[in-house]
Amino acid sequence: MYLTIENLSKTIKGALVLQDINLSLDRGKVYGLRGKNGSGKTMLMRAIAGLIRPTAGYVRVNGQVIGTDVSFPPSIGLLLENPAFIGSYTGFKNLQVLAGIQARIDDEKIRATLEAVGLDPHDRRPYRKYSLGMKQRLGVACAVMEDPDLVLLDEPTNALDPAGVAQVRTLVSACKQRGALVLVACHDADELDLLADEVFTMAEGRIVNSATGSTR
Amino acid sequence: MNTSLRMMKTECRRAFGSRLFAAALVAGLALALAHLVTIAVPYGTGDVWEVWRGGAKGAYPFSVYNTWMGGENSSAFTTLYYFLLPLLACVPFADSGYTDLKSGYAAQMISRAGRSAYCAAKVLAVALSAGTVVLVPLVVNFLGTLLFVPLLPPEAAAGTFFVGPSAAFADVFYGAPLVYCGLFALLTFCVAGIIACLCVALAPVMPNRFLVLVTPFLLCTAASFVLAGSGLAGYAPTEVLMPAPRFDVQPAVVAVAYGLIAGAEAVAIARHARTFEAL
Repeated sequence: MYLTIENLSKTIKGALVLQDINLSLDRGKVYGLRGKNGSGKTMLMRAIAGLIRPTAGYVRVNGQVIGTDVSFPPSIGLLLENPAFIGSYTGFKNLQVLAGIQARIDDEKIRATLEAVGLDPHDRRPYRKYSLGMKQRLGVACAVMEDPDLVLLDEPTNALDPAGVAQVRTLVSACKQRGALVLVACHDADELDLLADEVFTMAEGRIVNSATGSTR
Repeated sequence: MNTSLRMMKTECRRAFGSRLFAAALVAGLALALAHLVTIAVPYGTGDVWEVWRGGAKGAYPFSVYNTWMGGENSSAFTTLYYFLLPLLACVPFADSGYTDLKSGYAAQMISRAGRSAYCAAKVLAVALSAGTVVLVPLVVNFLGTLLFVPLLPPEAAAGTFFVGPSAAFADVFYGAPLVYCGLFALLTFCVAGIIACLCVALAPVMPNRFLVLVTPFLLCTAASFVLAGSGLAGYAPTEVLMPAPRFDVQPAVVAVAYGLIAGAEAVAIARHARTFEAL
């Protein structure tokens, strides 16, 4: 399995936000996480991304334990709840800056990804003037632009119009086609049913249910 | 180029390309130019130099070394510049550690570059932008003063130079004044960086961006009052940066004090880098 989570727990200021999570996820599939607000979906994604340290248990990506063998998964695309970018830069420049850190892709690939999420790569407006939906589209583009092996999307369809939602679906399918492991957290059950091969339900920091296409 | 170097390049581009960097530079340059117009130009075009140029060598005339912004310590603009220096140093980029953390942008960067590379790049960019923004006005003022006042070597007997015989590095000032100015320029650059990096070290515990920006300035001001009240006014954080010192100080004490502050900042930032969590 590409991603293994064993007995993962996380306590923050005395509150148990993740409790004994066990998951085995493989590449080339889309997994869904559903649950109420505060059920632990985002925290689980952060733990997988290496952005929080487990209190107990571990996350293993491609055989390497996050936080011990490596600090972060080596090839990861991440969209957290609220995409964060530099307000004075254009969408293209923001992605160019972030892509420049690992230098895996060129400007053409950034432009193509922006077009795939319905944004104009030549738009001169700074990010701070973007609408909520445009910000979300840029966040999705940022997560998938480098063709990562592991894609974590937290509420990717937030604030998107139907056309935007369709574009996200297409991108998620493309990630699956090229063999990436995609984990999508979403409170919209219908949307998850459309996107995911397997859906996990979370409540109070635990995985309480798992359902594949035939058992949903 | 590895990820750490690319991260440093990215942070430096952010720092030097920001509007706040430009604004701080303009503010510093405004003080430097105001000093030039009100102090250097009148000295250079005044009676003393007219008499000297006329061949009547009377009193030793004013030189760049006691006319430029760092060469004298009595004008309003010099006093204002060194008083505001901790604020000018922090304006360009020092609050970015705080804003990156709060917005989630730090998580974006860290997931790509790693904790250590991000923090090292942040410290470098903050320190370089702070040092540049305080040094450029001094250099511009020095060069501007050269347009009006000759670069006459300092003469202790003239009694018009602000570096007393017992001042730190007085022998350097009277022997190789450009080296002396370079020494203080380097000190100013480093101290501005240390002051600005205080914002990065404090970012995780600060409640808002405004406090992050003004805390170093408030601490410097408070330290100046406390030290002045303790008879140690010469050791005030920005007082030690003045090439025309008002008080005699021991350079070793200054070096140790700033070394300790820089060390404490490094420990705090390294600890934060190690324990960072995007909660």
